[in-house]
Amino acid sequence: MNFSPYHDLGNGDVLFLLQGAGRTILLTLFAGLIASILGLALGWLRFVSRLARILTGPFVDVLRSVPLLVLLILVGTFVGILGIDLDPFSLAIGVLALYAAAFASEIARAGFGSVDARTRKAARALGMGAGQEVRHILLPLAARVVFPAWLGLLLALVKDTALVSTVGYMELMKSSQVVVTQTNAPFVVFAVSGLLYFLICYPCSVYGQRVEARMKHDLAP
Amino acid sequence: MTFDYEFHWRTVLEDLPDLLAGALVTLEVTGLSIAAGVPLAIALGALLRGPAATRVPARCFVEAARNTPCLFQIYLFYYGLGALGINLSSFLVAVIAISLNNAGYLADTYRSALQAVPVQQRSAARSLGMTFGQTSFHVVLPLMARIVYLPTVNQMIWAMLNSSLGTLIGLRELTGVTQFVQSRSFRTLEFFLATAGLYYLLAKALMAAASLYGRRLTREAR
Amino acid sequence: MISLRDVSKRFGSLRVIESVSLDVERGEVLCLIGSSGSGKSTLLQCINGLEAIDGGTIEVDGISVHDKRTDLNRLRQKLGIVFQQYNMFPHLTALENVALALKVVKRMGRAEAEAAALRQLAYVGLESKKDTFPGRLSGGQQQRVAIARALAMEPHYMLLDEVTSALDPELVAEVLQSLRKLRTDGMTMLIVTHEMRFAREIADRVAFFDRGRLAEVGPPSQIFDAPRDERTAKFVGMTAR
Ligand SMILES: Nc1ncnc2c1ncn2[C@@H]1O[C@H](COP(=O)(O)OP(=O)(O)O)[C@@H](O)[C@H]1O
Ligand SMILES: [Mg+2]
Repeated sequence: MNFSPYHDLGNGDVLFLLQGAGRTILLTLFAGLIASILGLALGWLRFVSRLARILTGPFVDVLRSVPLLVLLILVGTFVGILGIDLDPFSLAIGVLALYAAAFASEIARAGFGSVDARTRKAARALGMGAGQEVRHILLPLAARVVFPAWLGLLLALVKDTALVSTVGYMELMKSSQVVVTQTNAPFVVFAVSGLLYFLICYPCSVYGQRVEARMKHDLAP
Repeated sequence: MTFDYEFHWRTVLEDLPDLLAGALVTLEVTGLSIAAGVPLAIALGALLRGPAATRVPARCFVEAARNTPCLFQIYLFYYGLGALGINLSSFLVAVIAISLNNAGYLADTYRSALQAVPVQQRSAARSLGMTFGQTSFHVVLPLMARIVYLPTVNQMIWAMLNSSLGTLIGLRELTGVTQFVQSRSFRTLEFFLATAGLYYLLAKALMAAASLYGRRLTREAR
Repeated sequence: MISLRDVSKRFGSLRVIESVSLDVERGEVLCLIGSSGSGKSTLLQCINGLEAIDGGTIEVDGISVHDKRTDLNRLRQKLGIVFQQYNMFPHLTALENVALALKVVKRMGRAEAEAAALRQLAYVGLESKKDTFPGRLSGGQQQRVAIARALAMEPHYMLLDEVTSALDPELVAEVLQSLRKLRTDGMTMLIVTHEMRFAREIADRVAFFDRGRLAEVGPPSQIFDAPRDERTAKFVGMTAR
């Protein structure tokens, strides 16, 4: 038993974990960006068109009912069969983005739905075209409403990136495992990597809650 | 780029009993982790309403559970308990870690549910001559159930999805079994498509089962 | 001139407007009265093309509103509309609410748009609230910003839909004052209102709307003192009390 063998966790190891944390953030940002764009487009389609809602419904439904790990394996296998040689980073980003897009599309649709039809009508009545109304009224209002949920999605994404360790990408989880194997000091290593995850997530989570509370206060008529 | 892959479903069909056995393990982990997670969440909810001495540690636990990946938590127990010389089965580790994860995510829901049952309703029931136990069972719990119902069902689905992480510590639940049996034939795509389908069905089945109970809740509300 | 000929409108099987013909002359103030649900709001929204019609024609200055070739966004600049529920843009300050359409529809520069918007806010007496968000304005103030927002487009006509109905009694007066000012300045207005005393005071003509039909149109003295239609008499008699 080895409770606090600090000397076992050298500066090099900590640096290694920090690099892992950096890659976790990078993965989150890339995947989050793609997921947001995809989710916005999909959510828009689902908002305006009943047909699109019916057609894309199963996609969203299935993605949300299947473990990310299974998705990762499935997509990896599929890509392999197609003969495409994807590096773990691209594969990970692709799968994470696809997965998060399913959630993002629901967030976006809820956001569009939350905007009062009368407010939109008022914009059209002033002579704004459909595109102008969307850009100046619908999007900004929807963005406000969904911001906390969107932040929550990014937080979930940070945690989801841990799964990417299974395809061999050296993000924070994988880095921790490597260091655990080298140092045989799981508690110290996990204390550090757990703290790193916490430091990435917690501030965003607190900020999201603040914004949400403020919105509840502001939107009271 | 052409897709001239030839699907072979027969081997999947032959191994279907194995997959179903794995699905059963998935359900067991899900059920046990909710069964343990909910009382823990209630306890945490009560602690969160208490004085700083109970609130602060409870809050620390909740935030730690919510702001680190579930996989991290599973590894922490798996490697950590191992380092302490405590060797639990991967099944038990998965159940413990996911229970605590569930508790962390549900704690605040149960805290507000505890807050939401007004003292007046409690005293109204007591004044009718109901005992503390009767009041809790017939008045307080049904009222709370309505608040916690949806979040708990959602968390149950998450628990099921999270249970797939057990694979990574050697648990033979649905994903683990699939990983194992596909390695005999290397029909990876077919096997995991079938498994994705099974997960989908499990999720729907869990929600259907929950909505049977949920309907009773709303009928009471009317 | 706004000119309606045999206009009909259905929502599914519900006939909301039936064969309505009506002219509003330039410079005229016409008040539309009638019980709630009779189709007054729908009629206003048909006039600026926010709602489609199922029969007849609506022309504004000779341009057919529901003709597919009509550039509705352009036509709507001529027709200011103010809704019962203010319909402010909640994410924009009072000034930005007024300036937005000037910028994106009239393509004014920022400074020019804001100067024009400020003039309109001053017109309704709300200069001092220019940086306030709608959520922090009273109902009456929001409604005055809505009027300023419509006026900023320099419309030829103003369509006003029960602009005081959602307001607390003590706030009604300030909004009505803004409308009086508009009348003095010669604005053509079609006003839906439940304020009978105000209608009598401000209207050149009053139109009584009953279940989607125009029952009677005439000067206020006729409608309120000597109604020729039985339904008008009943409605006016009821609301006078
Ligand atoms: N978008 C709509 N869809 C269906 N029915 C509507 C719609 N808008 C209004 N109606 C119906 O049309 C009738 C007239 O409504 P409205 O024009 O708002 O009346 P008013 O403004 O005179 O109170 C009402 O019965 C109302 O329920
Ligand atoms: Mg109306």
